[in-house]
Amino acid sequence: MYRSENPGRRNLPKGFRDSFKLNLTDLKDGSAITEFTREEVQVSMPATAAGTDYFEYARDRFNEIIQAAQPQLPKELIPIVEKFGKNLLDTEQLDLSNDESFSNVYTYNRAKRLTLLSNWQPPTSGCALLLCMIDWVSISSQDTKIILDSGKEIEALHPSFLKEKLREIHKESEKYQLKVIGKAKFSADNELLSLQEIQHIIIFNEGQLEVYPSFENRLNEFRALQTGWFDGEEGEPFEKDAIDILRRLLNKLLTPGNIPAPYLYAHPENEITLEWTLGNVEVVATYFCADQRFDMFSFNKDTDAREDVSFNLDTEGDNDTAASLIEEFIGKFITGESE
Amino acid sequence: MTQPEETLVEVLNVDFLLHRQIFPSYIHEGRPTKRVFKPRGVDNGLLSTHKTTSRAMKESCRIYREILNRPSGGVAPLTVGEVNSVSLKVFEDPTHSEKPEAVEFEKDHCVVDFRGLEVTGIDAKAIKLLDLAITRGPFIL
Repeated sequence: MYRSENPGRRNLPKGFRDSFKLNLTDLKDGSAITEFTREEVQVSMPATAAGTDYFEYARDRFNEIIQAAQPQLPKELIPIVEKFGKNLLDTEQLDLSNDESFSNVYTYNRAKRLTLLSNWQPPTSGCALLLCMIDWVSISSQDTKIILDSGKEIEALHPSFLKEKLREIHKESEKYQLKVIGKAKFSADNELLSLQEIQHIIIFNEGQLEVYPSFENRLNEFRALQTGWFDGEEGEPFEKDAIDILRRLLNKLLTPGNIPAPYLYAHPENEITLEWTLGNVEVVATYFCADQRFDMFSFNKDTDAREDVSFNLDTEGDNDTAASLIEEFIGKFITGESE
Repeated sequence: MTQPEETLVEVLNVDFLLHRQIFPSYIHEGRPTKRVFKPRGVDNGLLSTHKTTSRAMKESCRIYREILNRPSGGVAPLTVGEVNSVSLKVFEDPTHSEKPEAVEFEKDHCVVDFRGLEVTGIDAKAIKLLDLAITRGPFIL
């Protein structure tokens, strides 16, 4: 509500959260009825354009909505109502009031909640590839705001290990053209709502492609591994040719900038895995270095659906066919492309 | 090490935390591989972990690295209940250590039993377990 009245403000005013507290003030007989009251706090909440404070304003609007014979829930309240009273049993209810004597009571129960949500369809999730810029990255949390090429702003969450990279990109963002790939939430009419997790990043820095995670340094590390690299005993050095074949394949695959770079892992079984997380789908490609074979599988964590493909690499050529196969296998999971 | 199947005792306390050590090569840019919870061929289907009620992940990692001189790049945490939620069981597998600082740690050794599963089933369960561990928050050096 504050943000919709103050569209130019990125953050809530200082102390906004501290200006509202709810206290458990009474426990009626049998502990079945609990009473909560708003606590008087020293920090005052900012006033709305109408002069009331934001809590009073929000409370009165919500009470009006739940009291209406045919309640219409504003779109922005849907996520709140979806959570509010989710665990209420049929025999339970919340009595809301705007005065301590409870002279006006607005009842909220399971049936009311379902009525409010009756026209609502839950969001779906998938993988989005977004042409965008990073607007800000929170220091203390995993929040990021990104601005799509269309100008639309969306909230995004990043895993903690991506924070430094995102902050670095943010500082230099004027030079970059950026693609962010991640698990996206879409409304029922396929509108992008948010990114629930940033998973891969593709950067065009003054015409040069830079991918995150980086694969060149990682392959150089693999090339330099010595006997016993895994645990002091297991782990033989990789054939340098095998690494170079993989490097050429990745260059071929990633240079157009349409496919995110995989995370890479060396295994003492003379295997390297290439791993992508694309929304709810995990893709793992195992490169068997001894015979230049590739086994790929995808696994959808929501549906348990699995797909497999296997092929051999061309040890001499540029592996156009292998790059196309991988691109096709991965590309179909990136459903929310937005350019 | 691992006892014969018929003598294995299942860990039934679903609230016990399990610490799975992550090989250093299993981490790229802070992100663990999907194989963290996949038993290797040498494991014979029994994935090694240590159970605890109070030991911090950082401490597990320190004991593993500094006292037992084994490689670890971090720890992935799960509860026994979370392992059970993907239809896998956890069994006690206490081991002995001559090093006083590692005695309790090695007594807490447990295994997650993947035996009898197809490779595809193992991959899927390993991915689900890693997802749960990431939600819980791994410790990465």
